[in-house]
Amino acid sequence: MPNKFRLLMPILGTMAALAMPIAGLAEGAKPIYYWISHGSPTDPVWTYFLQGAEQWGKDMGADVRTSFHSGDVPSQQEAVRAAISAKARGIVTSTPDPGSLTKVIAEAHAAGIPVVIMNTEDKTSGRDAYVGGDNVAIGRRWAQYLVDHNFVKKGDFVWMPVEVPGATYQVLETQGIDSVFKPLGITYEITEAKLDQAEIISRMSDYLTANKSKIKAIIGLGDLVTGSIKRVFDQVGVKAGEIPVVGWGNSLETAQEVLDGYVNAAMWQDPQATSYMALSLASMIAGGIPPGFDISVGTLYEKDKAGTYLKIMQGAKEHK
Amino acid sequence: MSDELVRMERINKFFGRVQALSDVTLAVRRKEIVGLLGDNGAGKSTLIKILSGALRADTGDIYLRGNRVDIRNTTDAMAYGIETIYQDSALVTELSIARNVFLGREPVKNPRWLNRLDQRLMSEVARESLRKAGITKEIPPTTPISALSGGERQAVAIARAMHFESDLIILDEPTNNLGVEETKGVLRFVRSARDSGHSCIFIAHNIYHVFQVVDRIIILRRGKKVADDIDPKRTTIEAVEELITGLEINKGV
Amino acid sequence: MHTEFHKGGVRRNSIRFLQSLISRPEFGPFVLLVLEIVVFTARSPAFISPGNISNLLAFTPELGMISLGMTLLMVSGEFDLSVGSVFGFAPIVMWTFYNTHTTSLEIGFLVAMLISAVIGFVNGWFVTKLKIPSFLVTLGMLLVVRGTALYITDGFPQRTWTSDSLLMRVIVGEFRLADLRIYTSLLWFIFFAIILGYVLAGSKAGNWILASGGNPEAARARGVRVTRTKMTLFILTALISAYAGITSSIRVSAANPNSGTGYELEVIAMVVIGGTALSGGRGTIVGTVLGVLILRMMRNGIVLIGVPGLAYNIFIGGIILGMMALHSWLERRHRTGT
Ligand SMILES: Nc1ncnc2c1ncn2[C@@H]1O[C@H](COP(=O)(O)OP(=O)(O)O)[C@@H](O)[C@H]1O
Ligand SMILES: [Mg+2]
Repeated sequence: MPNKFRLLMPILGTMAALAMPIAGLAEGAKPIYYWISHGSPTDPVWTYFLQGAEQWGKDMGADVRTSFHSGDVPSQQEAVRAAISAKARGIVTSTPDPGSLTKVIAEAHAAGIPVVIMNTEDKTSGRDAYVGGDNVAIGRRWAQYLVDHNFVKKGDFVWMPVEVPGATYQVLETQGIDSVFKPLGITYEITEAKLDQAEIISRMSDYLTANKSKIKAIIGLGDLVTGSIKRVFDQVGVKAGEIPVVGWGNSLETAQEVLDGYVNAAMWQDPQATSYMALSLASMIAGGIPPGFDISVGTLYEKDKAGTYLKIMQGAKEHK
Repeated sequence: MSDELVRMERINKFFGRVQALSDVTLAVRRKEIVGLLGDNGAGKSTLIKILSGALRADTGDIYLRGNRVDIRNTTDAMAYGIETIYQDSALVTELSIARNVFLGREPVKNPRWLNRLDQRLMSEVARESLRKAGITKEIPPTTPISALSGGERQAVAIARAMHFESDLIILDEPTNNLGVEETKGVLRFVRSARDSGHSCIFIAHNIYHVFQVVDRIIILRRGKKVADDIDPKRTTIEAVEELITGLEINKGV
Repeated sequence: MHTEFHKGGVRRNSIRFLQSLISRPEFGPFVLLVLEIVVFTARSPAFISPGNISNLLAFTPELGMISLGMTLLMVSGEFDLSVGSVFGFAPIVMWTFYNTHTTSLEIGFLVAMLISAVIGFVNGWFVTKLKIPSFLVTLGMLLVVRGTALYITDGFPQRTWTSDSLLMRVIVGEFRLADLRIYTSLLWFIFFAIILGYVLAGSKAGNWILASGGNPEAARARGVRVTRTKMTLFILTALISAYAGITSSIRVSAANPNSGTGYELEVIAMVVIGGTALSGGRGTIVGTVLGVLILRMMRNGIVLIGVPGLAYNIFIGGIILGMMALHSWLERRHRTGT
């Protein structure tokens, strides 16, 4: 029977070996912070967010424990509760669904742990502070941009691709867009593009091919879809600027597309800064200074400023 | 004919254009061991599959104790007391001996709505019937089939057929792939089946085996019955071989 | 002399007992689970704090319930990739009915369960009657169900309510047990595990399930109703996934059309780690419960001790590969009859 252990041991040994160095970091008197994202680790913008969190941990000498939950509410709630059990000094998280964090935030507060929400807001959750963009306002700005520049008028149709329909940011952005378009009689359709780059391009190309004549403007409701516009246009045979595009601009691809004229205006949400500021706020609250404010981030940039953001993102990439 | 158990009458079976059986009539009496011989492809398996419900005849009738019956599937056949043991014995190798013996007819404890297996009864019966089927080695009934040898597996299939008091046990080449001792065990079982009140149809490649155990030999050739009433005690193996191959028919039969 | 012999017998018996314990297929997962608890507790004592145990026991029943259904289905030789989408879809149906004032919550619940049963039936029908492999059938169903959830909600999450309805309290009421916060879903999970464990190991139906997966032709030849058995299990799996999804939506106050994405693979991993053969014919509920705990604790523990977020899946994948190696090795030993 000891044979059985002979096989089991190397497996467990490997596990233990993997666990050692990681756990080693956690030792000592470093304060522990949890940075819990509802995003997907394969979404490029979240890697910028993650960098901000790691940077903050390094600068402050704190142990920042990070996890991604890809919109899976139960697993994210569990992570927040794990942070409470681990007696974290502060928790920074993002909202997967409105209302889904209310209960766990109350539990964190009961344990004396501040919770700062970043990136996706949930006002009624009881969070201590919010750092990020206002998605409704962002949606409104995109829609208004298209209207103000006379790209769309009454009776026009706008295509709004998104990676995964139903995500909070999309829901809120759509609300903002709707508040501008509806009174003007502009119609729109949201389509699912998925999270895989190849699939996004193929789905978007298919849709664009079928509806090219009808589409008067495009709003990219996510980073991946907006960053795919050039490749989709090239594939379908649409020239840069032929169809006006606005959308998210947190990727190198989108910044380049703005420079090249494929995208008219893109929204930069300062991901590293968002994480950094959120953790700072959490640390400040834990230290006893109450925040009477939220921190609002996000800029709509056009061709003239695209270079700046391109550089920031390239810098971040080299940094890695 | 009052002691006739089964009669298959004028059975025809086509597979596409191939006529596997043409007008075959076969009868088995009570406590009779019948050997079914024929070259490869003669239609032996097809014939007994019709009897065991695995295939349906195109035309022809089956009578059981003089009554016409309709055997639509294997469940029907088992309900009529017809058990079949194939070469690969049709056992579930992941399951224990006891569970295989009772597969499809598991005894259930009271209260019945709980659907609870009577595992103790299953074990006892399995152990008992294994011994009757000629396994002298002590094998716990909880042993999975995958841990058994070919002969032991065949013994489980035989034990299963015996336990359910089948009137007719059909063995289609049960000794293929078996060792010498294991083959002896199967032959011993066939021989003893008569004494325990069963009838048997025994199909085997090895004519010597058939000669050792059966009361009567039936021969099929290319889907037709060519001999029906060969007494192994009063004929030679050579004669039977000639009938099977159809090369030269010996007048001495 | 006599007593000595007796003593020897006792020792031999206890050795044999130990040996039979070790040779059980659940032994490997059990050792792994114990080791996991030891390692995590050593790294972070908070791992076994009442708070974290409560935390662990909150989500575990939801995936656990699906795994129970999946175990029976996999033992019968089939599997179901649509469980995650049914998990997301059923609460959408229930809450949509409720939120649009079409029906009461209770009726909405029944309608959601009924539709899920139909989904299971269709899966089973395609697999058993049209003889299409369950991989293809349930992959198709996954897309159909997920797509339907997205379509009827326009991608928006459905509003959920924390009213004090009896139904909700029965499904996931909260209560305290000493320092632990327990949801009734845990009791349901234990209840389902006992029932299905009994069905699989101790009932006639269980023998049919095992035989259907082990050698369907032989089983059919013995009068086992293989088609009906599999059909029932497809329906059971869909029902239990729907129930788990509704449980989850009430507990986390979210009914998102995307919820349950990827759960099918997580659940299959749990079942397989617990020793159930992917090809059918072998498996136990005890093993699955161990598999559920192993993966859930792993996920919880590595967040707790602070494994970097991006390194997460390395561990999960490593565990799956390791357990597969162990099971295949045990299986080979088993086959050679030692
Ligand atoms: N399922 C089937 N489909 C087509 N032909 C078959 C099938 N089963 C048997 N046959 C044909 O029927 C004939 C008799 O086969 P079989 O009964 O297996 O012979 P035996 O058992 O005597 O060797 C053969 O020609 C065989 O090829
Ligand atoms: Mg044959």
